[in-house]
Amino acid sequence: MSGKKTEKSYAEINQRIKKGEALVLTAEEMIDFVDENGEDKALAEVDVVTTATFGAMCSSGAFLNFGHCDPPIRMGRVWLNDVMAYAGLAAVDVYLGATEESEIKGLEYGGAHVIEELLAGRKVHLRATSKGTDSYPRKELDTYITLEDLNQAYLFNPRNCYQNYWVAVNSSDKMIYTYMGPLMARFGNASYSSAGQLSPLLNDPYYKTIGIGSRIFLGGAQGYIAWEGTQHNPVRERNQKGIPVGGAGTMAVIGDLKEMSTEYVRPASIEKYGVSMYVGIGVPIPILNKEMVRYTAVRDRDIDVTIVDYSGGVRDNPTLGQVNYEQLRSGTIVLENGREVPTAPLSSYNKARKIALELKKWINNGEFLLEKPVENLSTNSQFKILKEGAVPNV
Amino acid sequence: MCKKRLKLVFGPEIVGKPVTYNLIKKYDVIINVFQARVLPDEEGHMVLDIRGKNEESIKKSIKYLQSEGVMVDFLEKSISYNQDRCINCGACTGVCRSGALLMDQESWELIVDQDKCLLCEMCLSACSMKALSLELG
Ligand code: SF4
Ligand code: SF4
Repeated sequence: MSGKKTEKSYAEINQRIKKGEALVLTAEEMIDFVDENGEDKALAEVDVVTTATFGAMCSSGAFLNFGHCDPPIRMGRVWLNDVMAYAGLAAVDVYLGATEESEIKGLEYGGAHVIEELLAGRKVHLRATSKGTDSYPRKELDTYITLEDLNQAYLFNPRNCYQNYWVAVNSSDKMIYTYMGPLMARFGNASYSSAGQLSPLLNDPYYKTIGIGSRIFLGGAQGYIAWEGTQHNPVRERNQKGIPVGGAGTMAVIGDLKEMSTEYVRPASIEKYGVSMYVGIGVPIPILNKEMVRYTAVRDRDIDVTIVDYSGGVRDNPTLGQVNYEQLRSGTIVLENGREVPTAPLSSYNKARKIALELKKWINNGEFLLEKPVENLSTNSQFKILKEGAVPNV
Repeated sequence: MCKKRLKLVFGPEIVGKPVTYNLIKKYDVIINVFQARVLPDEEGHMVLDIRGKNEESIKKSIKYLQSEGVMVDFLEKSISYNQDRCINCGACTGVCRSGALLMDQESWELIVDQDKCLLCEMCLSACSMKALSLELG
């Protein structure tokens, strides 16, 4: 092909994938490729860059359809291994939220753990109650199900894959327990949670190739981006490279639970906080033009992030300056006040790397084609806070 | 270096004696106190790690404690690491001050060095995968 082309299309890239000729690199490999060969050669030769993350994604859960029993029941309240699932849908549909805790075991066991048991092929205890109606006379159900028994079981996660996040510290003089893990008193440690240079939305910071309908790696299976994620906040302050310096874009994702694996979907019990679910997500980014070459060559030192003091328990926590991911990954950062603080990640870089490599393999094998989004994620939607006490207009 | 975790119970009659002071002074051991409840005229409890040059120095210090009338219980515990549950996130490394838990900066896998562990138990609450636990023996 001609080295002068400045634009590539999805169709051309997919054509090459089908022929087994596409050059696919992980986001880490892309950094080295561009360093060694320059942007022009990268545009001419690289077709796809695979990005990934494996982190705690609380806003996750599964839609399940149990099928009808005889006599039938219109499930009003439903528990799976004593974890309540939301049944305010049709007769035998529920939504099982990942963070819902067991009524017996509390935060030791929750929706995410039930999802893991289903994925592992284990039997799950299903209990349901109902008021009983003419067409659905049954009032109680107590049985066991497996993933295979269900009609549909799909993850539908309203907010995953945060584009960057905060670094959490604690300035107070007592230890606090947060969704960012335990934070020791007097800046004893700092937690951060993004996969940095491997992270999907940091490799396409203005969502030029990411949107509704994008085919992705989700939990070990092929999935899709369904919508912009809840709290999607593209207008967050950005650095010179266009990278938002805190939590910004998000995505809602969907995929068939029956094809996923416990390798990439894991329940978590966060001490004195609650249940969460680690979800593995991989997003392929087509190298359509020079702009995408530059975005996907982003590296940890280009990614700045804001340090936030979590000790106050308030919505707008005070901030303490910025650091970049290279500094975070080194294991210590120095705060504005001169304090040296040990850092630790919450998301697994090791797993993110595995996912990026796995997705690369799928594409190389011709099993996974790129899908042009039907609509890109919004770059201007506004992020609102909840205002209390407003009088309704009658 | 040799380390044992002990639980000490003092009768009210010895609460006033400088037992731990003598221990450090005479037997050249390092002690790290995790819990202590020592009040005048009450039975005292203490959980501590005692570290000495070798088994012998620890044995001697325990003998001394017993000779003073302290009841000594061994807490034979260690941190156990379940690799299958571990996702190599690294969350535990941020709270481990002893260097027993570190991330390999190349592979981003967790490296566990039991010998450095001080049994402070901080990592137990940092691991949301329950990959680290406190085991007997
Ligand atoms: S118990 Fe303390 S010293 Fe031992 S590994 Fe855990 S955090 Fe580190
Ligand atoms: S916090 Fe738990 S899962 Fe994460 S690296 Fe440490 S042991 Fe492994």
